[in-house]
Amino acid sequence: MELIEIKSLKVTFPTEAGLVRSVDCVDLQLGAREKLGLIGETGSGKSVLAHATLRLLQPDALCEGEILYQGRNLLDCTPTELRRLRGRELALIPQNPSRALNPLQTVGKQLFETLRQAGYSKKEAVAKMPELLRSVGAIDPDSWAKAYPHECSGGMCERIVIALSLAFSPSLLLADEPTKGLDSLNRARIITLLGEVTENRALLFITHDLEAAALLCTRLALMYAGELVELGDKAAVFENPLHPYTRGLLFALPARGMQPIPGRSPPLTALPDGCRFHSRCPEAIARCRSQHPPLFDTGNGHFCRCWLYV
Amino acid sequence: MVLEIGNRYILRRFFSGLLAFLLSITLTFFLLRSLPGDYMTDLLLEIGRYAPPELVASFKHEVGLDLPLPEQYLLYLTGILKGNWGHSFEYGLPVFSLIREKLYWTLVLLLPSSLLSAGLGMGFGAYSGWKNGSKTDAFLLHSLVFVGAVPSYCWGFAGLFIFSFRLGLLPFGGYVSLPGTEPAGLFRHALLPVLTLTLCSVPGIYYLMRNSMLDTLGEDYILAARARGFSESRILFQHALPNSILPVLTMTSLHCAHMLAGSVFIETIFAWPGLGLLTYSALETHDLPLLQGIFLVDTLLIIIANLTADLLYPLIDPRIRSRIRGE
Amino acid sequence: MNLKSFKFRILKENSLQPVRSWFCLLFILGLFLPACILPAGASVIPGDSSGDTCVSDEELASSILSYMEYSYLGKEEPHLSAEELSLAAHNFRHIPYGRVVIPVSSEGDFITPNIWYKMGVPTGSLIYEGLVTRNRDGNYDSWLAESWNSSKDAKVWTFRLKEAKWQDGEPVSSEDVKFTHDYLKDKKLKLAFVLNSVERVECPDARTAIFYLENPDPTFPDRLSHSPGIAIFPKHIWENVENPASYDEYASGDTHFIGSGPFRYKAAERGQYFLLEANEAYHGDSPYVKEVALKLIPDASSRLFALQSGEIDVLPEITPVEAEKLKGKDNIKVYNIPDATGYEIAFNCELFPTNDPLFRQALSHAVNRENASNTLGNAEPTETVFLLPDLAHDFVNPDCIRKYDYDIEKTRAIFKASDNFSVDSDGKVRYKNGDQIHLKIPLGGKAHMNRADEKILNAIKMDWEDKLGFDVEFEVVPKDIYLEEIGESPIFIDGMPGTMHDDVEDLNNFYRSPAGSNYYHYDNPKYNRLMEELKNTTDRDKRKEIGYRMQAVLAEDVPTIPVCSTGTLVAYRTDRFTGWESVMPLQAGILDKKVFLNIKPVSSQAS
Ligand code: SF4
Repeated sequence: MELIEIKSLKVTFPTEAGLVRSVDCVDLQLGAREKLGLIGETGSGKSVLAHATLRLLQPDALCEGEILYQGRNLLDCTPTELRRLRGRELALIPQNPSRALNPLQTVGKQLFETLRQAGYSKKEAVAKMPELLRSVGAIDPDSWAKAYPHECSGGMCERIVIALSLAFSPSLLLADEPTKGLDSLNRARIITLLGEVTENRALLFITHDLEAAALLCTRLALMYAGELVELGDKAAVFENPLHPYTRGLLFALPARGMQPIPGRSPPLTALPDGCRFHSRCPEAIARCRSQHPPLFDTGNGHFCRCWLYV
Repeated sequence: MVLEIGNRYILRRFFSGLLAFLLSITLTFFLLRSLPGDYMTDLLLEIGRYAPPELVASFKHEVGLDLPLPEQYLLYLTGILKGNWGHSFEYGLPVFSLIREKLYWTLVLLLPSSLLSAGLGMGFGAYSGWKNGSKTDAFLLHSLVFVGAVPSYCWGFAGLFIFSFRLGLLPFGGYVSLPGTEPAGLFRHALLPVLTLTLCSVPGIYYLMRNSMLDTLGEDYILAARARGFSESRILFQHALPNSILPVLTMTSLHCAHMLAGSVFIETIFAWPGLGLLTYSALETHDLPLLQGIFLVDTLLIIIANLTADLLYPLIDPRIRSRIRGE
Repeated sequence: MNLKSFKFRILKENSLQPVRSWFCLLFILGLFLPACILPAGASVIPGDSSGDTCVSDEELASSILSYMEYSYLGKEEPHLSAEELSLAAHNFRHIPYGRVVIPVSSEGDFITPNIWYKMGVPTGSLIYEGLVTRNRDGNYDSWLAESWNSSKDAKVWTFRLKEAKWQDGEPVSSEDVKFTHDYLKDKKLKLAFVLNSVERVECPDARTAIFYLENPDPTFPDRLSHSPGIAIFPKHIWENVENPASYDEYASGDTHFIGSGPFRYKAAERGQYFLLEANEAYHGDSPYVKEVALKLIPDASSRLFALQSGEIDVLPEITPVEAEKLKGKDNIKVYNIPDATGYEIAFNCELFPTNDPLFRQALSHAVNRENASNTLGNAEPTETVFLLPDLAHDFVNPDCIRKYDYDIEKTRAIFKASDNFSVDSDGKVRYKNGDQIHLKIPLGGKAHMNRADEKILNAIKMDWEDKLGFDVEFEVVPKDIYLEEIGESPIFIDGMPGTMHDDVEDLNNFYRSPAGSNYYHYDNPKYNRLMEELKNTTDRDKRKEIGYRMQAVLAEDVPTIPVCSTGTLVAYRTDRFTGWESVMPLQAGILDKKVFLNIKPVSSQAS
């Protein structure tokens, strides 16, 4: 059985400017210990998807569809049930690690509280802390524990946030842009670290960094304007990218010529008819403008939302 | 903790406070002297149609207003240093003791109302922000918008009308009863003005606190704490509250310092002559020494409030603590 | 992630929906309304068992008897308590009873910590007295002085003192008079200017004080009596005070505030109240009221409440609007003290176009005094050239009354006859060169109280603009720069206390002394000569005659157009004290010894 199964998930926010359709009919499955990379630009709905999975969206966000965790629909869970699942089963490594830490408490205090939350006694928590910190690469756990968040570097914060999420030993880790804002050395280290700590768990790796995703994940899902546009094995996506958007992203990589995709993604309140990518698509055909493409199965578990693959 | 802040920091703050103080008394000194009109002319015109120039001149000579400005300024500065703040023209009393007396009465109202309004404002604000969107939040918000929109004058008046005039439960203004009438304790005298003052400052603190709480709730660490499955009350008390109180603290301390300068309205309605009315009447009559003294005290109070906030901050906020250490 | 803030914004927008706030208002009103509908109480006359509103001998006797039986024999409850008994006794005998509570609007209105340092007090104080005081009949009443006279040349004034005692028991002597003069001058106190012309004071005996003046001053008693006047202070107390300017009398309340007046200091709390009690050893009639309390109530609306709730007994100096509000209220009556302030349209006789006497005369016919008085409410038109007939009596030249009646045609006729102006067929007045007459009037002086100047201006503006074709513009200027402003303005509206219109001496307002100009920049050599003559004349009839001639000059030159005089409105509780209206104070306020010697507790009226 799949560990988590997202079925036609729709997330909308009411705003003055109209309904924001952040996530639109997304279907995804993730097996135990599977590592899936969810790739998209800012605002493509990938973070919302992750937050929806943990039910962390504000109360006025509207979620439709199903998110099945081990067969249980998370969208139907009560707050207490959710609290039991959060952290323990599903852990989030939030964006902006430096801002994901309470600025008024030392790292040690926050780790301690989290360990206590994970069910350790006070003594155990104190004993477990250095171990946990070491596991994310701290050489001197004591000095880390004494530090305040603002005294830590970006990489350090990232590690601490990972340590916090590991305190529970969850079965699924949702990492939201963990490599954002890090220099290449730290990025590599964090990727390695993530690889190590998810050896026995599933990982939903949310990023706009194709290369990092390639290093960590076995499957890749690409999102554009709230929709899944391509889904497939890493090798297939890299070697045979189907969707013009995926191709554009690949060409934008430094190794492949660094040609950015022209234009901007459409506002989520006023999505265009037809293919949502058509205004930027170099391969657009007439029907792209008027008809919205469904997700076509091109075989071998490789899906693509593009009229070119009817 | 205090040692951690470092003496250098305290010294630096102290000196910058001193500098601000000197600057501000210099400014007020020259500003006050550039105001049109003078005490004696006003006084004489009140009784008659003329202000005989020779009388005005002799008055000015007597109080030293005819000296060249720099000399007056020097005299003023040395006077302050020696603790001689001069005599009020209008009251004929030493400015310092006059202000001290009025300040006392202002404090009698201010201290309880500051504590009350800070407590209530922060409490309601935090609750409202935390329960954002709930019925309680909406109720608090709407009623406090209403409370804040009605001028303090009206509230004071409504209170006086109902509790003193109609029901006769509370004394009719003032801080002492006339001898021979049924004596009401200071508590009953101060009740209405304190409540009115509180009522008027709660909305401001409430908005600040509510917004600060909303901002804090939007922070990633709250989300992260939720994602870790922390209970709501733990999130509120360990993360949301301490962080959202921080910005409100400075504002509240300054707010209190401003209130110290006195609320003319409250003091007028409740016949409670404190610093506010004193300032008002001193301005009316051009009572220069008194005005100078009052502005001096106001400045001092605001600087002290700032200084207190400056010294308290590092105790609460580790970020500031390390910035100081870095200085 | 701006998504997070969407929702916050939504609530903030909703929050100001007026409908919901109205609900809150209704809710709060609902809470308070019941409180507003509850009634207030009434009063009865103690001892008056027959209900004929007076306490007879028998009624008092039986009350006393029942009280004694109660306190000595423990019989049934007396029908009067000790307190009520004393009121009943007061109703029968002249024993001071009751407390009048008067509001004051600012701390400055209390007897200030330093009477020396402040204004004069003879009429405005219940504790201190001067030698004489002026009354509304144009004569003087004696306070400490029993009689007084001057030498022929009005340079030597002799005052014979009454046999009076200071409130601490010491006798009042002429030494105190001399001391007051010397002390004021020695200590360079502000009030010394009142006695500028006094060279020295001598005391041939304990009850005679002689003032030697440097120049003749036929109105010396006037100078001593008001605006501000001089009070006499006890030498034995003040001679020990080195620096009166910084002497705090509150700090030594019992031994200070010692005067010779009908009331004495009892208790005070700075900035709250000042309590006086009847001085039963007063040299005149002792007061009927036992205590007078001045209570600080700075807020005008609170004062109205206080009067209605019985917290205070009298409310002086209310505005016509407030008077209107109080009218018809239970147990409250409003009366008017006439001629408190005189209003005038004043000219600067040096500036164009008001330097032309014809212009000023012409405008005198264009002021509808009747109309202006009506807009002010409690006002009477003034149809003399300067003095108010009710206060100055026969000093007013009868020939100058109604000299300039309201008649626009006369205005036009004067302009038509002038070389500098022309009148067109519509009756509009223009300068000879055809330019419109433009007048800019600054407002903000003493007449700005209750916006009187604005009302007067509006009353005349219609005529001046519509009928005469002027362009009249006004500007409210701050008090502080008003004086400068009117120095540069050809025309302005002013108001001053009635006491400045009550004597020929007040014609001094138009005198151009060698020292400097006057308020109106008016300079007529003939008038100046008359003024100098007046200053050296002591005989009343002669002074009156000179005054008539001066008024005749003014009537020709019109440096000012008196418009009207307003009164001071006073509200009082009819169920507490009576006798307010039967004695008119000299000045606007009611805080006048005469008034307080006259008022009685209500129930004593009947007996
Ligand atoms: S559907 Fe058309 S517009 Fe959209 S990606 Fe394919 S080719 Fe481009």
